[in-house]
Amino acid sequence: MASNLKLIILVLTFLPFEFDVFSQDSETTSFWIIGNNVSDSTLSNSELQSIFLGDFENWKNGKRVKVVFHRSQTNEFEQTSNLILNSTANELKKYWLSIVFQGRANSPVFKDSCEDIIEYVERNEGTIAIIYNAIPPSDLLIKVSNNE
Amino acid sequence: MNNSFINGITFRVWFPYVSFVTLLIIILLIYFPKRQEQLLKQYELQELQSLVNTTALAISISLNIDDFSGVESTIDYISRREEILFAAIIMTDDSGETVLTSYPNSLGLDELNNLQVNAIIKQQKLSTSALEGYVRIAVSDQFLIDRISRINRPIYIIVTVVFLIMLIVSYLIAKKYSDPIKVITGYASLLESGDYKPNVDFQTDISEIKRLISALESLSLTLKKQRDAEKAFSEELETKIEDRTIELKRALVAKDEFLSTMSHEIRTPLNSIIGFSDLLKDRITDEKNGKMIKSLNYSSKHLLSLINDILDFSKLSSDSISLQNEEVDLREIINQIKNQFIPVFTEKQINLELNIDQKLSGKHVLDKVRISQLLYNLISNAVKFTEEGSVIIDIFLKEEIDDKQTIAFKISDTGIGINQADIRKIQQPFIQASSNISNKFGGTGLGLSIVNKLLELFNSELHIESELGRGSEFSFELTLSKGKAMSDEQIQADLTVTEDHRNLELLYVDDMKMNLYVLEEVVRDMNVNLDICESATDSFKLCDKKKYDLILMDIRMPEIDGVAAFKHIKENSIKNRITPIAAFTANVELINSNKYLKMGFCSHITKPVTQEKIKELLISISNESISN
Repeated sequence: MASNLKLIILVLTFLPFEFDVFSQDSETTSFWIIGNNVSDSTLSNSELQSIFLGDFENWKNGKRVKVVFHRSQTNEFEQTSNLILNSTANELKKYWLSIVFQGRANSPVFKDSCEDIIEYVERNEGTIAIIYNAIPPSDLLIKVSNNE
Repeated sequence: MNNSFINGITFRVWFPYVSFVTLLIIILLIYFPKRQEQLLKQYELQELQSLVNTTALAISISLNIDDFSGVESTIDYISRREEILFAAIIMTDDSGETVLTSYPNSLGLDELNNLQVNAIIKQQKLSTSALEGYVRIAVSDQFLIDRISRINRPIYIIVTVVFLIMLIVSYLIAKKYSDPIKVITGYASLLESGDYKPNVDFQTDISEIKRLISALESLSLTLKKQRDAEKAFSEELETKIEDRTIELKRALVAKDEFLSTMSHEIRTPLNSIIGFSDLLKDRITDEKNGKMIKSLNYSSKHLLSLINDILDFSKLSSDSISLQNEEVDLREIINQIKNQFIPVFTEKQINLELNIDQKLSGKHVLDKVRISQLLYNLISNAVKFTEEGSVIIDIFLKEEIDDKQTIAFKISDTGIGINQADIRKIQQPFIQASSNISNKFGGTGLGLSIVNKLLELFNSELHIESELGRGSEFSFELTLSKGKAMSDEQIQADLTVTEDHRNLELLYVDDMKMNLYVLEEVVRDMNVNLDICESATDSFKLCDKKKYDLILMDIRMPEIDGVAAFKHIKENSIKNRITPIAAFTANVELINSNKYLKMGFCSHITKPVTQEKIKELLISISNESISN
């Protein structure tokens, strides 16, 4: 059952028009959305944006949504900020600080490397992350659909 | 709440205690909530400051080490604090302050400022390079007050309950100590009233009260024994007093009888002496013998006066005299007394001035005999001690209220006067100002004592003003009821009293031949037809034969006395049933005078008989005959 739920979505650079949120620098950067037991194997752009902006607290299966980021000082976090908010890393941090502070979202987890992120996602159900320049296990990959 | 409770020991013990505790509670209720509020506020502020610091630290750490879990747990903690109005991060940059975010809702800076009006605010600067600004947390002031109120409410309830319990408990404690005292007080009251109960009906565990009860019970026992002894002694004493009283009464009766007998026995011979000496002094023309007769007459009258004074004083001192009030004419009394003194005034060549207020009503209700005696004594004194000058009698109306008139009597003289120091002295019985006076003027020294005693009967008192060598003034006041006004006819009748007593038939009954002889001589020149007899039986026979205008009846006679004879004549004599009968006796007691008048005697004449007395009696009989 768990293996069925684990969906691997390969996000390729040739899908910029399908995945507008992540369109910046997408031609030169490859990244993957990974998750563990996040109830849906395919997520839309808007769903992903909402998830990474902390709008959801729980998945449909009841698991708590836990967003995992690269450390804020890393380029990956900068790229993620660009992807999600089209802004700087500091802005994304302030944004997450504000929503955590308001109690509207679970606090995100920051990790030093892709390996650490993959390992954390593998161990914790309901976690979701964006990884760059690394190939994640296929059972963690989440497919991004073009639908809004 | 009645006075007995307020003054009672329960209240006295209870009230200060309750007052003190109430005051203490009031102070505590005022002080503690205030202090508690201060402490709570202080604590809240400290806690708030701590929370702000923690939050600021958590945020700084979150931003510095990318770990938002601290912020999350801090916010979780804040969300559970009801008193927190908001928690906000105020971001500062070149453009000014902006609210980055806040808890519980997303609020703008203006909204934040509005909320801050009634709130306690603490803020802490963030120490992170990622974000310039500070954390601000506000606590609701009202919430704090409500919280204090909520905390205090049970305290108030507890204090009230404790106070009520204390009130009841303290009352019960006070009662515990006051109840025995009340019982003891009641027991003591019983002892005071003479009810010696053997035991105090009360149980207590207070040792002092126990001892007190024990002492009281002992006292009760002792008092009971004493009372029984006193009762026995008292009964014995009462018996003795009763015996003594009976003896005393017997002695008094014996004394009265003795006085009465002595009075009679002394007056009877005096009657003859005065009567004959009166007659002889006018008949004897020889100067030498005339002087002797006059001396004899004076001495016998003086002796009579002394006897009268002693008898009067004796009666007045024993309080056996009461006033016999009747309607009398004061003017008439004064004039009668004045007439008695005219010969003395003439002899001593002193003036007598009589001033009677015209406003005095015709008659007054008073005892004629006593007022006469009173005035007689005072005038007699004035005359006695005045050798030259005058004696003035003033009688005037001082006050009149309704039918009561207050009449002032004043007898003043230009006599020898009295030393101020002697004024009190001379009012004591048998005492005169000095032995010289006694020697020079004579007398028993009873005059003023009798006056004082008589005035006591009249509820009045004697005032004496005197100056040695210049004279004296004796005055008193009497409040008398007015009598019925005299009719014009009565006044006219009084004015037309004449001495025309010719053709009067007179019967004199006396067992003493000497007295019969004296009266024969007394009325010899009066053109009176006098019949005499020596016994009541003889008088009955005379009364059957002849109608008399007046019968003079001696009271003390052997076989049938005067009173029995009086009754016999009134009941049996056809001719003399309505004839006035005068009691003629040597008994000077005034009380008897009234007794005889009440019996129906027309008058009471005391021996010794004088021409004046007989004339006066005949005039009154004559007037009554005219008016009838």
